Amino acid sequence: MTEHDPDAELLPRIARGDQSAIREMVARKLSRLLALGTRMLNDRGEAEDVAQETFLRVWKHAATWQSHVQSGSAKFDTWLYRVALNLCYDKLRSRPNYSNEDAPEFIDQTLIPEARLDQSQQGDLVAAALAMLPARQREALVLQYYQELSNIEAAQLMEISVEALESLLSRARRNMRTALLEKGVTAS
Amino acid sequence: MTLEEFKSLCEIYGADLSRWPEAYHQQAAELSTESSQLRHILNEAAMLDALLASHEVAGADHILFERIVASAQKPTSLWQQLTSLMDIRFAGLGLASAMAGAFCFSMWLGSMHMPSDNAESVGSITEYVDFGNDWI
Repeated sequence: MTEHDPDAELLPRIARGDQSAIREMVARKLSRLLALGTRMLNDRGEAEDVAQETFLRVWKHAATWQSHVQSGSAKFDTWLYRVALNLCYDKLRSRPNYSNEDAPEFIDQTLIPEARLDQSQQGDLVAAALAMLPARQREALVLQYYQELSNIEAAQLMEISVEALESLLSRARRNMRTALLEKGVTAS
Repeated sequence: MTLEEFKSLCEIYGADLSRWPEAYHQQAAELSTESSQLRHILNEAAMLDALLASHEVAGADHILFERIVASAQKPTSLWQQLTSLMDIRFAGLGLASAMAGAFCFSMWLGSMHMPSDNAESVGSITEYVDFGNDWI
């Protein structure tokens, strides 16, 4: 692997127990992992659990990470997101209303609270609509829109083609628009 | 790029052209300035983008940050766990040796102690040994 990966450079130091490297890694990744988990799970507590467990995996694999890098298997961020997403899916699968990409192409709008004029509630409405999306659509939207990954990075992470990712994104945005705009929620 | 292709990319990536695949950036920007219909499509997509952006997530608090940092302190790899265990065993061995040495030394000191029949000496034994009432 020839690509420079600043995160991977921290790992040997983390493996040696270097405090500054450990703190640097947490400072770099925690907020993004929390955002990913919160939007995937719509539950702050579970998102914090996922973030903590993800970091435990980092500490555990820090010493052997160099061998992964030399084999060219993955960029550190890709691996980190995959671990976090797998943990999110573990939690989602344990829910009775779990749905995947095979779920119907609509959102049950009765499950979304009525639109309110209070601007501070708008984010909550979006969160509720996002939570109603089939998991793979939500994953695509979270990675591409919120986490700002490129289409290639997001597709690689989801282990699908760019075309399949685009299909998921298109359906996700259409479902969100249907759920929000047609319910009278407008951007303020 | 046709109108349908433009609309399709808008539905996939939203109104922010910088989020579109790089190959389309320039062409999409040029087309959107020329066509009011395309601008309308972009505006509709921008509304959804704005709604999505309103879903903000609070950053991590200090307590969570420190808890995660602290979780790195524990030995995590098998090798670290083994070496840690070895450290504990060696420390335990040292402690046991020291205690055994102290015990032998005290026994040696005890053997050097001459028997005494004074009250203090008898009293010190009866404090710890119950001889029963018959012996008092």
